[in-house]
Amino acid sequence: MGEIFRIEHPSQPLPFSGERFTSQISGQIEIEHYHRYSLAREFCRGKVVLDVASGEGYGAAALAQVASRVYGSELDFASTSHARAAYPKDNLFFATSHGCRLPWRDRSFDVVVSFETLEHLSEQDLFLGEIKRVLRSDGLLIISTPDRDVYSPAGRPANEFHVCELTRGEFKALLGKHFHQVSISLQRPMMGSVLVPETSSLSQTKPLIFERRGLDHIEFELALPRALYLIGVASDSAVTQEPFSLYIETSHIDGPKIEADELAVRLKHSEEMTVELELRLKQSEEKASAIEADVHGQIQILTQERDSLAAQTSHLQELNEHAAASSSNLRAELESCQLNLKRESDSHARTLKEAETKWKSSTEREVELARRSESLKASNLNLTARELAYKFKSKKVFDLANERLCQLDTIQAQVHILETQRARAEVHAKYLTEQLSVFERDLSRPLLKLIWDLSIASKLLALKRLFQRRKKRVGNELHAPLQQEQMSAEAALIAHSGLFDETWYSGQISHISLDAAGCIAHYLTLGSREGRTPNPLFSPHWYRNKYLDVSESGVEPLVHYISFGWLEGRWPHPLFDPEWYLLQYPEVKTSGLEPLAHFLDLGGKQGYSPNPWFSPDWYLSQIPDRTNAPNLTISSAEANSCALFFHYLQRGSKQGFWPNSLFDPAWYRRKYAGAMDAGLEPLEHYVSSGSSNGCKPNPLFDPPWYRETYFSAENQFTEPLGHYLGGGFEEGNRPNPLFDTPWYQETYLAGTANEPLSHYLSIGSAEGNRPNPLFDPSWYRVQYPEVAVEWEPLCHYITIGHKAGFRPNCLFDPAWYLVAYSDVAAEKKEALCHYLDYGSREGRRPNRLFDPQWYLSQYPDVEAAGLHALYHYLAYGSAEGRRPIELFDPAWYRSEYQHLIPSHLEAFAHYVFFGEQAGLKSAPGWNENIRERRIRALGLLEPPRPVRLAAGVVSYNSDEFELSRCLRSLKLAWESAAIPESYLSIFLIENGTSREWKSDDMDFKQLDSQGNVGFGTAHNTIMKQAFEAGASHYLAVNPDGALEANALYSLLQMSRAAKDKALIEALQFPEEHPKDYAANTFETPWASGACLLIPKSLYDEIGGFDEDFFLYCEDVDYSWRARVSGFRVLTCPRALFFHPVSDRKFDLARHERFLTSGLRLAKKWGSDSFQQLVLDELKRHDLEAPSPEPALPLFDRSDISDFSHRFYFANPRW
Amino acid sequence: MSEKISSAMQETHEHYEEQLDVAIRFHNLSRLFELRRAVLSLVCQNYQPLTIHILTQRLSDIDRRSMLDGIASTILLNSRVALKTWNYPDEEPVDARSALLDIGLNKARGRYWAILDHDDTILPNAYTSLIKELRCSGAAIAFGAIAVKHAEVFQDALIVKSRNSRHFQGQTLVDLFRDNFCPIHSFVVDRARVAVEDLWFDHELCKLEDYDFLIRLCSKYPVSFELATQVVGDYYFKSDDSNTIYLSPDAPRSSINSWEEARDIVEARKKRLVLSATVQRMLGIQPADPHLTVARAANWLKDSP
Repeated sequence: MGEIFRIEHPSQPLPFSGERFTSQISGQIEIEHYHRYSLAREFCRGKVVLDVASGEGYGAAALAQVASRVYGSELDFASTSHARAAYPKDNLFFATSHGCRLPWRDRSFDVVVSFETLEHLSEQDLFLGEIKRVLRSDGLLIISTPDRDVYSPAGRPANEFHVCELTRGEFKALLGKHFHQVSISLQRPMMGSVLVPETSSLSQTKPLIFERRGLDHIEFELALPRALYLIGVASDSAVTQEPFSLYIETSHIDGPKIEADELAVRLKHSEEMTVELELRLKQSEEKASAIEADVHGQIQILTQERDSLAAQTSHLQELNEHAAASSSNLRAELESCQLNLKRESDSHARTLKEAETKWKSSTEREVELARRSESLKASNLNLTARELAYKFKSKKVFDLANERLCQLDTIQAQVHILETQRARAEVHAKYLTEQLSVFERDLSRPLLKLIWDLSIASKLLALKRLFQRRKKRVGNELHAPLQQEQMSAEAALIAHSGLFDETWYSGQISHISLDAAGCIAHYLTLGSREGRTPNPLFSPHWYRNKYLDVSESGVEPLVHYISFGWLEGRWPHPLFDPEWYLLQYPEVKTSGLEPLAHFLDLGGKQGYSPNPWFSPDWYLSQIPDRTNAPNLTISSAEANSCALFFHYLQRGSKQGFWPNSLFDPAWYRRKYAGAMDAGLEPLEHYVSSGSSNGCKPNPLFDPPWYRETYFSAENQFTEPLGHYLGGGFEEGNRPNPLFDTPWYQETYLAGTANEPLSHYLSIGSAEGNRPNPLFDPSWYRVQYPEVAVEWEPLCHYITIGHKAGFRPNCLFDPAWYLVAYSDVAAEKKEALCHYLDYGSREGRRPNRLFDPQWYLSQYPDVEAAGLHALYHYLAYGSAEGRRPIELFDPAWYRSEYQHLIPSHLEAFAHYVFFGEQAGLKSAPGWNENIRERRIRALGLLEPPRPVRLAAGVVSYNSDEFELSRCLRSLKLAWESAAIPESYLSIFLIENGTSREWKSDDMDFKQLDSQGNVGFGTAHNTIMKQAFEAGASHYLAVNPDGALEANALYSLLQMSRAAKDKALIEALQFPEEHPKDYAANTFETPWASGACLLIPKSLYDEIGGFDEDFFLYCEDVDYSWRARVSGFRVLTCPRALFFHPVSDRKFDLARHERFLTSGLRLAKKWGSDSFQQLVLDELKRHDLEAPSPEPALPLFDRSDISDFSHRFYFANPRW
Repeated sequence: MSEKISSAMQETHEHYEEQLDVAIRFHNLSRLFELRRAVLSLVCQNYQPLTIHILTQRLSDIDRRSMLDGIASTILLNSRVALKTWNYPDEEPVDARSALLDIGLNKARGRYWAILDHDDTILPNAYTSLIKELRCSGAAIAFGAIAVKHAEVFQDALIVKSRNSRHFQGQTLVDLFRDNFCPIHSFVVDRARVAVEDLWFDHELCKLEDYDFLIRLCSKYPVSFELATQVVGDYYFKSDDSNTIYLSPDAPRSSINSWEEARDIVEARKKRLVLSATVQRMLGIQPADPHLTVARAANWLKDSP
């Protein structure tokens, strides 16, 4: 890949006159010029250059890209002005001058360039003399001219601008006359191919030139034939041969054709687009015309409408006056109506009294008939017994018995008729009572309402008369015997199912007076098709729509349900779940009863629920004082679960009563008004389709999330709210990601069986209970007062707040969290939810400053209690005066800045979001103390004292480049430390194949190899020798690494600050070891041996590495031993040691050594569990455990050794 | 010390087919300790030959000498790594970060080109892996993954608190079209495979200039995300808010505006840039749609691998 430079183009090219090349034209002449200037450019790097006859200036501009300064000389003033404007560069100048009278001083230029100029001049000697004058003594002229023999052979028309063309010999002679050294190159543009050797320079290559001569011949030559142009390089000092140079215009000959084809295609496309656009324009114009006409027409219409409205207004005024007059008339009519209604009321009262009398009479008759019935039953039994005894003996007796039985049937039918009459009388009386109450209530309503009621009343009277006529007719029809056998069977089936409530049904056909059989017959013939319901919980219409097979079969829905439906688990109503009912109440299943009939007849009285979403107890608890809620009309006799449920369906839902503790019908109706079918009750909608479509039963219950979180594929069809209410909450399931059910239960409802979310919704939120440890509703209300008006805080946060960056408590910053942890944002997780579920455990921060890891390490009781660090601080820590971070003192901060901190804001929250930016202090002198502690620990207050340092490198067949780099880094780091060179000694020992290492620029001592004795043993050998020779410190350095220039200085500074009572490691770079170190004291559990500073005092105390470790873990052991002896172990974050470890691939042999050393470490420091872990790992890799070693632990210091973090041997930072 | 590295800084006309040029922008001498880390990570690269171009903005001669003194010992660690420095002298634009990168491009002589911010680092095998991928795949750009380290700055030390190798989410070209998940040091460009007229940075942009550059190149030339999960370098997220990309919710309005303006420019570019047939083929779109823009591809190819 070579240098790429820009071809300079003017924004406006000069027109081509034929005299000089301009960028207006292209082709051969452009190639010739670009090639000359590109070549000249290489001679001009860093030079002062004159371009004689610079023309349009593009060439001079190209030279100026590399030259120090370039001057362009041009005879034509217009060209000079153009060039000056087109190429405004700091190192490029243009002047108008004649080539024979150049306006510069003697010896001004390093290089003069003049292309295709000489032939335009007659005074060629004078021209070259002038060039020589301005050239420095060792200056260089690069000049070109056409070869007359080739360019203007006899017969070819001459170039009208050329005054004197030269042949090659004449040109060479002319240059030789003025310069001692001349070199000529030949230039000829061509179309062809180039073959260049891969390695040798072009200038060293003799070209073999082939030229096609006509159709059938190729000419071979060793020099360029018929070159049009001559390029001369002349100087008084030595001239290097001009390089062999190629200029490649394009890499393939067919390129222009392809480009032309592409352009043609694009042109064609453009033309098509133009035609299309013209067409669209035309269409648009037509549309515009049509719109204009339309607008005009509309204006006319509007004008007419305006006139019409004016007329209507005046008409309305007249009507208004007329209405006022009518009002007084209506008032009179009203008084008349009141009288009529009073009369009507009296009449109804009388009718009621008569009905009661009839009922009393019928009751007496019923008693009499019952008595007779019992008597007949007894007779019947007697007859049956006699029949059994004598059935084969006497046909006469048999006939008599049959006759008696018929009589019994007749009597029973009479009883039935009387019962029907009694029911009808009851219904009639009830109806009349209700009508009376309606009329009485309506009498007190305003005038217009009364007028409306009056018309309704008159309509009712008319309808009553109509219905009486129809009743008579239909009654006659229905009392006629049913003709069809099937109808009879279905009626019998229904009558015995317990699912037909003739009272209920009669209420729907109050215009007709029917007995039970009549009602069933009516239902079968008309009612079912008309959508009338046999009981409040069976909807034939819904059943048909839900089960299309039933609809298609033509079977009546109730008949289908009784015969097959309930056994197949089909629902009679959107809110009655037979399967659930049977599961919930196993005794019903045992009895074999149909569930709905059971609920209607018995279950309701026993307080059973019809489905998982209706809780009778909850429902009843909402209406404790019925005297204050007369519209409820639930009498104590009716207050069973069945009646309550009917009440909910008919009235309660509309009045805003909840069917259970979590379903809010009013909210649901408002929220999903658009999605609900007209007339559908909210709970019905929710159960039928809402839940599966993601509708919520209240703002805080999230069915899709619940389903995704708690349901497996098998129970994806279970309804989440029902599941939650039916036991999910007891299992700790959450209704949404931010409501922590178990936590809420334990915190606020311990010892109770209350459902947590309903508690939170009804009481908890208002009392400031938190739905999870980190959402604070009270704070939220105070912080965002605009929310408090309409929203429950958690609901607001889930719906809007978290997206708008609202904070769930005073210290959690969701906006910052998503910026800082973009993986959370990428997963589209809500920040608080992520923090609660993962972030807190992963040690992530809830805001820029709070450090949970520090908090937990500082206060072990918090971690022991299993609490979130942030929650603990918010709930207890702040009040107890604990520090949220090392640098912050809450009590001091609050007292210092009490005038700035709002009463509701926690002190640290104020500091995080306001104080720090405002430059407030976080603790009394704390920042300074921390800073000083760090400075002291790092030893920044004074330079390292000159120490005698021995650096030891243990090699094992090291890479030569790496080892050399390591040694060089030691030398450079030592120079940076500015300590006398003689104080440093470098030792090298080769553990691998014996060889002698050499370095030209490094002075080091190679010790005799002892073979592959292991890392620690080799270092011990060096250390022993080094310390005996007077070294005060030893630096162990891995041969594949390199010290950063300041590393040694920083290590020695830190060692001095620690009074040489510390083992100090450099920080590995660019991949640090993840083990932790203290941010202020820089203490670390153990130090790596990759680059480790060991003071002699430590060596004197504990010796060197434990030689039982062959490789790995010896540094961990050495560090722990140092700590046992009272030495500190430190990480120096300012000392970087390059150590490439990130790309190491798994190597079984290395892994085995690692495990073997780990096993040794575990035995030495007494960790049975870690020994077992290592043995298991060895076994997993089919590796043999090393031979037994001394069993007893040598050290029993569990306060120092750490095997709880596997091979990290320390708490890892990541 | 700066004299010692003069040999490493010799202007050369040699052009290396194998050479990698890495551009580092630097303008604040107080962050020299970070530059030293960045340079160390380059000097110790396994891939060589490598030339480091330090591009400065209106740095005085004295500061330039101080800078060279600060990194001299590091440069001398490896003779196969050369150092060149280039200063942008003009007063305008005030923020010349795009202009600096253009200088870096123009001064590059090697076939391969990369960028490293002065406060970030690159892993030793990063360029070996990425250039190997370029050679194997024939792509014009190869991408690797970058880990994020959260660090506290104290004096000349970075105290690293945590590391996250999955911070930048995304693994495919379409992901890149949607949003920039490729930090500036996550890729290497093969200049031989890119037309010179496409190698430029938009001087209008002082934010997202690298994303704009990537969008333009990646819409036209084949790219490789084979190494999109292999960590090749670290991005330091620092406690002193010195990161360029960090934008807190409390940032000044002017800063937010400048980000939003840059984003608008890039988004507008996405709506104009049409994907080349080569790139469309790479994405599995055949025949190519002549009107498929980057923005449409980002939206349309939602679930593409």
